[in-house]
Amino acid sequence: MAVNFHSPEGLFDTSHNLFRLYNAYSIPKGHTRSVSPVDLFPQHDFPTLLLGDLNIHHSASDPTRLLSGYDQFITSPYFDRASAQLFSLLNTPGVYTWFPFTSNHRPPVLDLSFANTALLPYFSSWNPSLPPTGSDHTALSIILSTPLLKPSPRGLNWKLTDWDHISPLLAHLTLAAPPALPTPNSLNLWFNDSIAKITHLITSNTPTKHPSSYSKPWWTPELI
Amino acid sequence: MRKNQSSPALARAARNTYFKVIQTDKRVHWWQFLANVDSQSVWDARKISAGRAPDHFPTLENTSSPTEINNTLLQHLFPPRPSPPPPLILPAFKVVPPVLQAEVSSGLRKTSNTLAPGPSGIPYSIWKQVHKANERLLPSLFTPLLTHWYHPLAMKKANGIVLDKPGKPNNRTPASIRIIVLLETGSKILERLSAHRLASAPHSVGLLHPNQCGSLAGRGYFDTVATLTHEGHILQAASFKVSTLFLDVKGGFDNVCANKPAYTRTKGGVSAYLVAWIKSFLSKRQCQLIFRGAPKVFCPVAVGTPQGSPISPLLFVLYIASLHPTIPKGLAISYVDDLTITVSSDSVRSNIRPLQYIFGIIQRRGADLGVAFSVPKTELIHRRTPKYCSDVSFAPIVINDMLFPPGQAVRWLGYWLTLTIQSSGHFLRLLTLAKASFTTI
Repeated sequence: MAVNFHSPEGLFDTSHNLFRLYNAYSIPKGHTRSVSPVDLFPQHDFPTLLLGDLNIHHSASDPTRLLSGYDQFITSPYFDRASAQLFSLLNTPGVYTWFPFTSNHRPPVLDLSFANTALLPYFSSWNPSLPPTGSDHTALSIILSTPLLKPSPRGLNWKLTDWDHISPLLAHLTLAAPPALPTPNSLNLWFNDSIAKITHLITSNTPTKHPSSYSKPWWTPELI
Repeated sequence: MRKNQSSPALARAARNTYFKVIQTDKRVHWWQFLANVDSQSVWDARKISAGRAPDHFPTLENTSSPTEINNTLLQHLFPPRPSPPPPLILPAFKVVPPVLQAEVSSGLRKTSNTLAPGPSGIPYSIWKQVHKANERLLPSLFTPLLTHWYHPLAMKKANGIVLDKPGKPNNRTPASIRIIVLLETGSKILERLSAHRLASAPHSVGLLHPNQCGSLAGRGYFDTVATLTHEGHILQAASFKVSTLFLDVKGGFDNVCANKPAYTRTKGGVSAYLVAWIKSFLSKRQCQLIFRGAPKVFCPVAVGTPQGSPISPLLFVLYIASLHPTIPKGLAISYVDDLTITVSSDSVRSNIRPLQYIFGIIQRRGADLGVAFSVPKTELIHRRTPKYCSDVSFAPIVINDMLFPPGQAVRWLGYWLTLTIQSSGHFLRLLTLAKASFTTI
C-alpha cells in the first residue's frame, strides 16, 4: 500500500512536491516472501519512505543474530535490491521490533524502515519506545524534519548540578593572566579559555533535561 | 501480521477508561485549584486558562524559505550601518579601578534566576553559585576587560526570539514582527557593574538633563508621572491652561550610534576607560534569530544599544540628553525613550503653536543624533481642572503635516492620565481590566 502526500509549495523546505509512504507486509511463501524485492524497492527521485513487516532477518538490522544459510538466501536479494536502488536502512541495528507472547520464539527485528536518497537528508530519528499498543509488534516513531527543523539539543537541568562536587574544584580554580599587550584576537582567546574552564566544569557535572509530560502545559480550553 | 490474541474490544475499553480517568482527575484538580486561589495564584489561573498561542512559522511576503525569512528579518530589524574598525592592539588604561568582589556580589544580588539566558544557556543562578564558591573568579575575568577596554566577541552574541507584535492584523511584513533579545548572563553581570560605575558620574558632570528619568536610582516611572502631574497642577493653580504632547522615540535603543559624540565626552567624572569599553561593547555584535525553522546562525548586526542589557537604558538616556529644551511656563520631561512636552498659556488654542515650535526644535536635535519620533504613538492632551471639566477643548495639533486631535485619556508609562489628571481614573481603569480578566477563567 502506498500513500502520497502532495504539497504544492514543496515538502521539507525543498522543491519536492510529492512524498510517498509505502507500507508492506511480506509473508513467508515457500522459499520466498509474498512481496518480491523488485516490487518492494521502486526507483523514485522524490522522497520515499518504506515501512514494513518483511519477515526477513539480516545482519544489518540484527547484528547479534546468528543467521542460517537459509536466512541469508531469503534476505540477501532484498538488501541487495535496496542498495541498488539507494535505499538506506533506518532501524537502529539490534533493536527488536517484535516480542512474541509465546516462549518458543525469540525477539527478532522484523519491522524494517528504509528511506531513499531523496528522503535521507530529512531523516531525524527512529524510535521504538512508543507506548504499547497491545500488538506483539512495537509501535515505531520515525521523525522526519528539514535539517533546519531538527530540534535543538537538550538543555541542561541546572537544578541537578552537582555543586557538592564542583564547589571545591571551583574554589581552587585559578585563571591564567591575560596577555601583557593584547590584541583583540589574543584577548578573545584568553577570555574564551578562561570562561570555558569555568563553564566546562559546571556543564560536565550537570545532567541534561528529560522531556516529561509536564514539559508542556496540559490545560487547554477544550479540557475545561 | 502477528496480532495480540486478547480481545481487541477489551483493550479498547481499558484504554478508554484510562484516558477518561485522567481527564476526570485533571478536571477535578482544576476545580480544586480554582477553589483555593489566593491573590497571587489567581494570576496563574488567569494565565493557564488563557492558554498560550501555539508556535507558528512566520510567513513574510516574497520569502519562500526559513533562510530567506531569517535574512529579511535581519535586514529589517538591524539595517546595516558602518562600524568603526577594531583597534590593532589594546593598551591598558593606567587608572582603572579593579572589579571588586563586592561589586560582583551587588550586581548578582539584583538579578533574577528566572530570566531567560543567552546562547550559552547559563542562567544567573549558576553565576551566583560560582561566585559563592570562589569570589576571585569573576573579578579576575572582568578586570582585564575593563583595563583593556574590550568586550569579547563571545559576550556579544545574543538570541533574538521572534514574536508577533500584539494587535497587528497579520504577520506578513517584517514590521509586524518584534524580537526579544536574550543576552549572555555573564556579559550582563559586567554590563551591570559598568552601568553602576557610569551612573555615578553623569549627574555630577552635567551629562544628563535634570528632567531625564529612568535607569537612575531615585528616578523611577512613578517619580516621572508624579512630576508631570504635579507641574501641571502648579500651572493650573496659576490659572493657566495646560497642554501636553506625548512623544515616543522611534526604534529607541536601535538608533543609538557608537560613533556619535555623546559617548566620546569624557567630562570630569566619566572615565576614559569606560567610554572606550562602551564603544567596544556597542560594536561588532552578533545575533541569531529564533523561530520555528530558523537556520540558527549568528549574523553580525548593528543594534545600537542592545535590548535587555542593564546598561542600555542609561546609555540611551545619555545619548538623548540634548533633546530636552528649557521651556518657560512649561516642562520637557522624559522617561528613557518616552518624552513629554508640557506648555501653558491663557488658552488651550494658544498652547498649540508653542508645542509645534518646541517639537520642531526637538525634531532637529533628534535628526542630528539619528533619532526620529513614532507618529502612531504621538498623543495630545489638553488638561482640565475638576472645576471646569465641562469646558473641553478639541483643538488639534499639526505635526509634520499630520493632524493629532486631543485625547480624553493617555496611557503613559503604564499610567492612565485623564483630562483632570486624577489618580482615581488610573485605578478605576485597572480595576475594570482586572475584573474583565477574571471572566476568562
